[in-house]
Amino acid sequence: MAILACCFYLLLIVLLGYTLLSVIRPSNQLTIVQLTGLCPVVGAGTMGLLLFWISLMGFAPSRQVLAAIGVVTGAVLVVLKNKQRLPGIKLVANDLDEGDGWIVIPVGIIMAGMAVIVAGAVTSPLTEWDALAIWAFKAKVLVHAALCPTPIYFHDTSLSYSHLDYPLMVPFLTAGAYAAMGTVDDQTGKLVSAFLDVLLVPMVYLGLRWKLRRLPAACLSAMVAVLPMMLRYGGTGYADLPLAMFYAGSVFYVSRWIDQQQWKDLTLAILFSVFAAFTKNEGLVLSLMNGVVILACGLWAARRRGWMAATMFFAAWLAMDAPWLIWSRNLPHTHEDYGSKLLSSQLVTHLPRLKEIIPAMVVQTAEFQVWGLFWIMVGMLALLGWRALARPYVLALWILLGLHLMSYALAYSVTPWDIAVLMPMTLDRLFLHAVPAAAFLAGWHWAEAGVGHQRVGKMKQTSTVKEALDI
Amino acid sequence: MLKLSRVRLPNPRVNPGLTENILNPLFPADGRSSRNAAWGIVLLALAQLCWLQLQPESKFHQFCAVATESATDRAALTEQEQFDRIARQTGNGNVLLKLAGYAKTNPVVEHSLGYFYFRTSYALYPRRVYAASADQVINDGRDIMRIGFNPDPQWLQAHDVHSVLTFGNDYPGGETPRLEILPPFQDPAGTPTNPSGGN
Repeated sequence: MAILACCFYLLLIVLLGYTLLSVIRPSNQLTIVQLTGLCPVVGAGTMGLLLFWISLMGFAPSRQVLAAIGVVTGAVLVVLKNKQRLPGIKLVANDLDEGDGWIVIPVGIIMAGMAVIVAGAVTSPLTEWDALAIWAFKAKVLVHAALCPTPIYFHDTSLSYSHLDYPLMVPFLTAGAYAAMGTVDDQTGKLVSAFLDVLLVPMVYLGLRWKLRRLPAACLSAMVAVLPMMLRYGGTGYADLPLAMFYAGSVFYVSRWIDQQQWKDLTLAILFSVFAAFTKNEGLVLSLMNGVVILACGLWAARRRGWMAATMFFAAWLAMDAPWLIWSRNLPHTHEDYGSKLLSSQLVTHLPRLKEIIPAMVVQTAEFQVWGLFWIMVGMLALLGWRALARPYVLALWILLGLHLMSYALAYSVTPWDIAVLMPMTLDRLFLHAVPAAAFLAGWHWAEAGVGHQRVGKMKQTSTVKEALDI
Repeated sequence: MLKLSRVRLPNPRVNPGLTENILNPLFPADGRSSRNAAWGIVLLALAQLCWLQLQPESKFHQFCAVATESATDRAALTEQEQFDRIARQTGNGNVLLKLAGYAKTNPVVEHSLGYFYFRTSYALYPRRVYAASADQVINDGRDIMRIGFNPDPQWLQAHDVHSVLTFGNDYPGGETPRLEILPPFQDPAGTPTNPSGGN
């Protein structure tokens, strides 16, 4: 019964995502991957934010709250249907390329990877330290009491180990599952973790499919699906894969905005950036970097549209994230408190530590047991398809990736922990956040090396094909 | 006009409208070899990742091992299951975590002490496990040992503490926590009080 309730909750998340995408309307037709990948991701981010806002109004996640969200979602869907604004769903591809039959192999690998994550999540208890002490603990707190008035937990420093000031996206999504089930069952609740974690793969596929044909896009997605790190942390209750998933969406739509200047892409870039900022503190920094890159590209191209986009980005980001920033401003920080340290003079005094940190990060990319040949492959594809560097969206993504890794290196430089102990424990997880951007870069460079859409001789750019490709 | 004509434009056949540099001859734009090399790299990397999952230490292997383990193995309680079971036995009210013997000073138990506190705090919530007062910072087991919390009976009564978990002992053979249920509190009139749990 609990599993059934949890599945209904996940269905509501998908429905919420479909409704929001119907409003934003990134394309006239949703492909099956968009339906099973993009809708749940948008729905999950929206659900997490909604539950947070509702909790701030004094209502903890409950079946009544979920029912209210369901009713409003249903009403919006009816209105959209009456206005014939619902996007169609394209179940069968009619634009298959030569060799696409081989796609069953990477798809099989992806399915196997996902099955291991889901099965591992539902058959093992919650054991990982951070998953238990930080994320699952917060979910339990949130389902017991609304955030207004602030529960005692958030000011009890004897529970400081659970990082009282961490963002609440994953805890709220888990609390929503507990509310749907009517009980705090963390074993079944791990279904939510598995659900969020496997969504990284379709998000990566969508980003790759923008420039690549089906087969190469599926091969690169399969690599992400069977990365040892993906299987290690998938379904364990950590927030790293959900962050990677939202970050994947944000950098993809930032790149699309830079390339095509479509407002719907900017809207999705803002949404995903806000979701990432509400998932982990790293996401807050990464999402602001997205805004900076949009602004920089606007300045570089000297387009009024670019300025407007950057203004819109920061205004909308602030509007949606303000409740969290205001509510959490007085929460006690741990001795880590990277935000304050990175903005203080400590940053300069600790710069020499980068001499240890950067080589350790480079070595991490060559850890075969952890990453296989993934990072080496990214470098080689970048070399083979080096011409892609002339494309602004590729350059922008390289800059984002560079800023991303640099911010992590700087965070390590000011950490109060012993670097020699901390880095081996956490570096693989932090690199996991960068996997989607690296996979996109690999794919977009590869497209330039000869497997992109533009080189498919037989492909006719009819409107149908364009729509199918329009992710 | 003259200046413009002197500008060397990229050869579109070699480099379709993009930058031109020393990489051009190495990786020509229409090179079949580049395409094949890229495919080779991707397939090699994918095959290597699949191979990693066939290794004994892989997650896939671990999952298969768990799925096929015997009933005897499955019956053996893991550490967290033991901690959860102890937490369930605490009955109503909040719990005090006390250190005994070597656990007060021996840094070897920091790790397991920390995990025990995190696990029982999680399992009991919204009831509380007190290892310090609410204004003292606990980030790990070392902090619990440093604080050495030992409140008086009035504090226990005010915080609705009904049981004590003692971690550590004076003899070798383990840190298995012991549970002690406190007698009901007496109000000044001598009537036992039993306030409901939670804080």
